[in-house]
Order: sequence, then structure tokens, then C-alpha cells
Amino acid sequence: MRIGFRGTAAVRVVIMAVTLMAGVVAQAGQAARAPQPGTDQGVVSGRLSYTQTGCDTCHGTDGSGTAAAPRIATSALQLQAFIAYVRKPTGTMPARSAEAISDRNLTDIYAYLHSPAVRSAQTAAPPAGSVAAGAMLYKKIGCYECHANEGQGGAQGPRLGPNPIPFARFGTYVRNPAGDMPPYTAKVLSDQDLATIYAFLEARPRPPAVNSIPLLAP
Amino acid sequence: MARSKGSTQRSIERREFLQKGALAGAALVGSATGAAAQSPAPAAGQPAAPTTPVMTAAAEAAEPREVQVLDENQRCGSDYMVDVFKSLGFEYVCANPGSSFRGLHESIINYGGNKSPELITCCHEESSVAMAHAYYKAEGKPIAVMAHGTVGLQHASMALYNAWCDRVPVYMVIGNYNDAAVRRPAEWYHGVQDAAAMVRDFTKWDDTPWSLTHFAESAVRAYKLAVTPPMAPTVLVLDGIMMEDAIARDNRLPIPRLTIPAPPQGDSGSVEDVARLLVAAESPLLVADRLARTPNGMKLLIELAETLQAGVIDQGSRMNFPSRHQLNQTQRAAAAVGEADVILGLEVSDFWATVNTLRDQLHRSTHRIAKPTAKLITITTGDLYVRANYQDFRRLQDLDLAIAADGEATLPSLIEAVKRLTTGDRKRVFQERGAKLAEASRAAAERSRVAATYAWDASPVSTARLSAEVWAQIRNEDWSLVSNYYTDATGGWPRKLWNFDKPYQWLGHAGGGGIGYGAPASVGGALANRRHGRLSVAIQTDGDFMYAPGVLWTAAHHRIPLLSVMNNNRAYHMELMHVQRMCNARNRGVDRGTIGSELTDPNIDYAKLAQSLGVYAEGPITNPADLGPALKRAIAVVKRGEPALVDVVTQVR
Repeated sequence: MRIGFRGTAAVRVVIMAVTLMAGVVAQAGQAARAPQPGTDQGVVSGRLSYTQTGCDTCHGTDGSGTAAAPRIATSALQLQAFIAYVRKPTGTMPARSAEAISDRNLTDIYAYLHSPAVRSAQTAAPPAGSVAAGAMLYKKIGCYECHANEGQGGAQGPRLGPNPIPFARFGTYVRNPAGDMPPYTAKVLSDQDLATIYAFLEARPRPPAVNSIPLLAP
Repeated sequence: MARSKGSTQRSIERREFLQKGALAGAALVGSATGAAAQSPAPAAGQPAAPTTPVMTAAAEAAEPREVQVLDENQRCGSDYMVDVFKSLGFEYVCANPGSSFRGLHESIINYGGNKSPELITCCHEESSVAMAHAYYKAEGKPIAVMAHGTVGLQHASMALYNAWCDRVPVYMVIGNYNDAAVRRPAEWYHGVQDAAAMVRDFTKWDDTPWSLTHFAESAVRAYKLAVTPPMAPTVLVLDGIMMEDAIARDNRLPIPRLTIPAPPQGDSGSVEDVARLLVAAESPLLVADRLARTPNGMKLLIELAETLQAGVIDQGSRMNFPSRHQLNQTQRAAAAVGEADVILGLEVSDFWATVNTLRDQLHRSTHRIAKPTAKLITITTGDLYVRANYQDFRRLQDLDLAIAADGEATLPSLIEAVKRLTTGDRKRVFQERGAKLAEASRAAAERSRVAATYAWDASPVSTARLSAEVWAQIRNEDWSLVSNYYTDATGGWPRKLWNFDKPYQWLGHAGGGGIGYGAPASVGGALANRRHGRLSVAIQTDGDFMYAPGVLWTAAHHRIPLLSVMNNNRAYHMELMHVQRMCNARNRGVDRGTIGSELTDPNIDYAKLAQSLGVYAEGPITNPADLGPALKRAIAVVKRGEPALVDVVTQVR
């Protein structure tokens, strides 16, 4: 559902085209072929299903994970175990029935999460950045407002560090966030600035063990 | 009954006196001015002549005028008003003094003995109303507020709007000199034709009585309407002359009897339908917001949840459900909504936002988070009474069943129906479900504990550390969190870390989102808690505090014990985030996004501010290790019956 849409006619045409394409792909995926995890066709369909189902809301656009849910890209989980978990998850993840998403669509999602593009995003090394400069930049551009001063997360934004999500995924999310986060374009935040902030997040101290803090005893 | 004949005559005499008095005063001033004009200029080195009027020889020689005081056989209208207010059981009346209700003010402190109601001196009418708002939620009884009909009510209006949105009764008494022929000069600024008009859109009822009998009926009616669900503020406009006019002492004006109506229950057929849906559901979810009107509300919700072994989300406008109950799913609310096949909203103010989300980007979009097939049910008095202008009624959600009734009053029959319809097979299903929910609740609580460890030793102090430090000091006390710092999108640190299991331990939100509620509400809640010997604690945000910090003087003056712990993040951070959102959406960078939202340069010294108001205070504290000892010292002061404040420089939220 969309309210208050004020896009141009050109944008609307593009959206219609994408929607039509999604419909064609979905129909093709359901009627014409058997699922082939790892094929290009499965990957394209899987990427669409992944976002249409809302997986990206918690797991990030390429399955790298967020503070709300773990990484599922390139996981060691086998296909059948993956499908079984989606049907009956533990923890906070909502269950998805076969009516909500078919086994075939889940197979395509699995293919997408194990595709070469996603795999490379998990392993790309970040460019070098200064921790001190990152601390200043983190404050200056307002990351702290939602994610708190040390990147530990708060009411409005999840924890970012230490041990942040892979850099490629980090950059993608900052440019094109899936949720409420305001987007930062390259005009207001360069790729080098991103790397600098990332260095700050990586350098956050690891917290003490929860059971070593008496004040947090249940 | 109309005003007595004798009273009317006296009123006319009074007007004559005032008219003649005014003329005499004018002559006196004219005479003094004339005398000054004829006086020679003082010689060099001589003191200047006084410029204020002095009594002239002619005035000294004048015949004494009629002495106008009540005689032994008289009392005044406001004495009778106090009799009526006493019959309604008011313990307190909050007021910033105002001449338009001076008659009532005097009757309260002298005729009424300043007891039931006792006058609480406030430094701002917004504080008076917010105190009354929170007092009601702590005590379950309204207190009265007095204010000028114009300038006072304008100050009070924001707080009244909060109370309206929160569906809380505030008993507002405002003074006005209705008769233009008797107004003193200042009373023209304070005079108004229709005093309650400015707040009529967000109050339930108002009246301007024209006689004392009319007053008595309206006073009782205002109380009755205010406390009958859906509850809301009411306004009584009292004429200044009616307060001040004399009446015969033996004039036994009647005091109407207060009978509070029972709140409306859902009809039996609809309640049976709801019970049937809940019992048959595989994953029912109970969502409570303004449900618990009384302490019994929490007990009833626990009983319903445990009977069904259903998950509960407490949206926090009232203390509805224990924070650590194994069926409490508030910390995983979105997931719980997504799993549910039947969702029952109990006095939920925004059911649409419970089952949908709105993405706040340049182009706003919405997304349903509940299953498309989930059955949606509401029980709320919100369907019984709405007003047109202010839009606090929220978006309209498609529903499968809606019962226009009081949630708490309907729960006993719903529980009875659920028990009657539950078979042995369903009980086994319920138990299995309850075990899974308990595990999910335990896991969510554990995640919160772990999340609190991050930035544990950071400076400024993390809000998780602040909450944990306060909890460590109060956990073995009979405590009550009286500020509106408790919940947010994910639950808020106190609710994540503290064990809320008593109805008075949390008093809900402002209602209308008007900043400035927190500090006076804390004092009002603490005033209610004082008689019960509870330790009142406020986590006080800095932006809110600066609206009307004088309320701490009220706490000091009236010996209201309250621990205020500043969540001093030196900004209006919610607004700062909104500005940042605009900066990003317009692709202009956020470098200047703090302009207009930060409270720095200079930093505000809240400890000194509190000390100047007569409150024990420490801070600013920036090292988290210093916080525990400071809290201990402050609590020792509070236990002596006084307010105390600890200023903590914190991270953002």
C-alpha cells in the first residue's frame, strides 16, 4: 500500500514496469520451471521473493543480518532445513505458512542467498579508515541520534558495533535503507566517510559478559 | 433555586458602593495631583516629594463609610461551593493564584480549613493540570484545579489536551467575572463571554452556573461525567460575584448526591462471540493500552491471559500487565502480532498502528504486519465518544468485531465465557502454547540484558546503565515510576530491566504527546503516593523539565518526596531526529541538523536549578561509576520526606 505518492510520471512508469516484470517472473517461476537453486533464473526470482516477503526488513537486503535478525546469507543450513525453519521458527521470527510463501519461492530465496553476488558481499574487505576521525564523523552526521553514542543501539535504531555487518552490506544499507532510517547519498556522505565510520564501529570495545555485571542480574 | 432576594439586593448595593468608591478614588487622585502641581520644586539638596498619592486633610476628615464585611448571620457563596467540593471528596486543589477565584481561594483556606481539599501552590497552570492528571492515574480519584478563566485556562490548555487524549478526568474550576458592570480594570483582561469555549473541543462537558443551586448540580454533574468512561476533563466556570456575594448562614442550600454510573459492559452475545474466537485460536494475542482503570484491571488481564495461555502486549498507557510475566510479549511485539490469528485490542487507542506500520520516508508507505487472515477485535469506550476537530481518534482499521464498551468492565464476563467454552483438548493446546510463549519471553528478556552491557562504562552515561543503576537502588523498596519515561517503540529500558508487577508502579504517558507533562506529572504522582509511603521515582528528561521547572518548588514547598533522575541528553532529541530526516530526504547533509534542537552553549546546570528551588540536588554526573553513590544519598533525602534530584549527563535515548 502506498499513500501520499508524489512521484513523477516517469517514476510511475518505471514502477509499473518493475511491477509487471515481477509479475512475469513470479508467474514464470510458479508455472514453467522446476526450482533450480543456484541458477540465474532462481537467483533473480529469489531476490524478488526475498524483498516481497519482507525478509529484508530484519535480515537486510542481501541477508547479511541486522541487529534485529542474524545473517542468513551463505549460511551452512541445508535447503530443507531452511524451509523447515521458515515454517516453524524459534525466537522472534514470525512463521510463514505455505499459503504465505511456497516451497518453490523459498527455494529461490535460498538460491539468491547463496549466489556469487551475495557471497562476494560477505567477504569484501572495507577500505582503511581512521577510528578517531570515524568517531567525529559518527557524531557529526547524526548516527548517534538513533544508534547511540557508542553504536550500541537504542530505541530508534539497532546496534551497529562492535562486530558490524560486512562493509559492503553496511554501505548498501546506508545508501538504501529498508526501514525508517533516512538514506545518506554519496553527495552528503562519501564512500571514504563510510569506511571511516565503519572503522569507528569496528573499534568499539566489546562489552563485559552480562553475568559479570551484578546490576543486570535478573 | 435562584439567588436569594437579599443576596441580590446586597449585590446591587455592592455595585453602588464600587461605583461611588471609584468616583471618590478619582477625586482623591485628582486632588493629590492638583496638590502636587501647586507645590514648589524642592530646593537643591532637599529630598523630592513623594510621587505616590497621600491622604489629604479632606479625606481624613471624611465621614466613615459603611463597613462591608460578613456579619455573624452570613456566609458567602464560595463557602457553599467548598461544602459541595468537600462532598465530592477532593483531597487537593492545585492552583496558581488568580483574582477571578479569590473568593473561592479564601473559602478553601479559611472556611474549609485548607483540608480536603488542601490548596497546592503551583507556579504554572500547566503544572496544576498535569499534576492532577497523574494524581488520578496513581490514586484513581480526581483532584481539582483552579485557574483564571482566560489567562489561566490558556496556560492550562495544553495539559488539558494531554488529559483529554489520555482519557483522564481533570476537574477544572475557572473563575470569571461574568457581569461586565462590576469588573475591576484588570478583570476586563480576565473577563470572557464563554470562558470554556477555548477548550471545548477537548473536554467532555462544561457549564457556567447562574445560581448557587445551579452551581451545585453542575459541580456534581461535572464530577460524574468526568469519571464515567470514557473519562475526560470537565470545566466549571464560576462567576466571581457569585463566589463573593453573601448568603444567609441559615440558608441551607442542598448538596446533590453523587452517584457514579457503572461503566458500560459489552453485550453478552458479542462477548460470547469474542470468547469463541479466542478459544478456537491457535495463536491469540491480547493487546492492552488504556485498559486498567483500577488495580483490578491488571488482575483481570492476568486471569484472561493465563486462562487462554495467550500472549499479551502492554502498550503502556496504563499499568496493564506485569513486565516479567511469562506471557508478556511486549519486547517482541511486532513478531507476536505477525504470529497471531486472533488479536483482541482492549482499550487500544491506536489499533491501526498495532497491526500496521508506516514507513516515514520522503514518500510515506504503509505495510500490514498482522496476517491477512487474522481476526481483529476491539473492546473500547473509544467508540462511544469522539470529537471532530482534534484528530486523536487515529486511522480507521477494518475489524471483524467491535464492542463499544469499557474493557475492564467487560473482562469478567469474557473470562467466564472463555472458561465455559474451553474443553480439555483446548486446555492441552493452551498449555503447549504457553510454554512456547514463556520461552520467547525469556529469550527476549535475555537479549535485553545483553544489549544493556554495550557501552556499559561509557561517558556520557548510557540510558541502559542509568536505568540499571536506579533499579539497583529501588528494587527492594515499595517504588513507583511516576515520570513518563517507560515505553517506546521497543519497550524502554525500565520496562526491559525492572520488575513492574503492581498497578501503581507505572502511570502511563502524557496522552497527547505534549512536552512539559513529565515533570509536573511526576510531582502529581508523588503527591498521590505520599500517603501510601511509596518511593516515587522519576527519570526526568531535560527538554520536558525546562517547560515549567517551578514544579520542583511545589514539591519542596509541600514536602512531596520524589527522586528525580535527570536523563540529561542536552537536546530535544526526538525533534533533532526529525530534522535530520528532513536533511537526509532533501539531500543537503545533516551538519547543521542540531541547530534549533540542542540545549547546549551554555549547558544547563539542573542541580543548581533544583537547589535554587529548595531541592536537594547533585550533579552533573558524567562518570557512570559515580551514579550509584549519588542515588543512595538522594534516596536518603527522599525517605526523609523531601524531593531530591540527581543530574546525569546521558546518551541520547
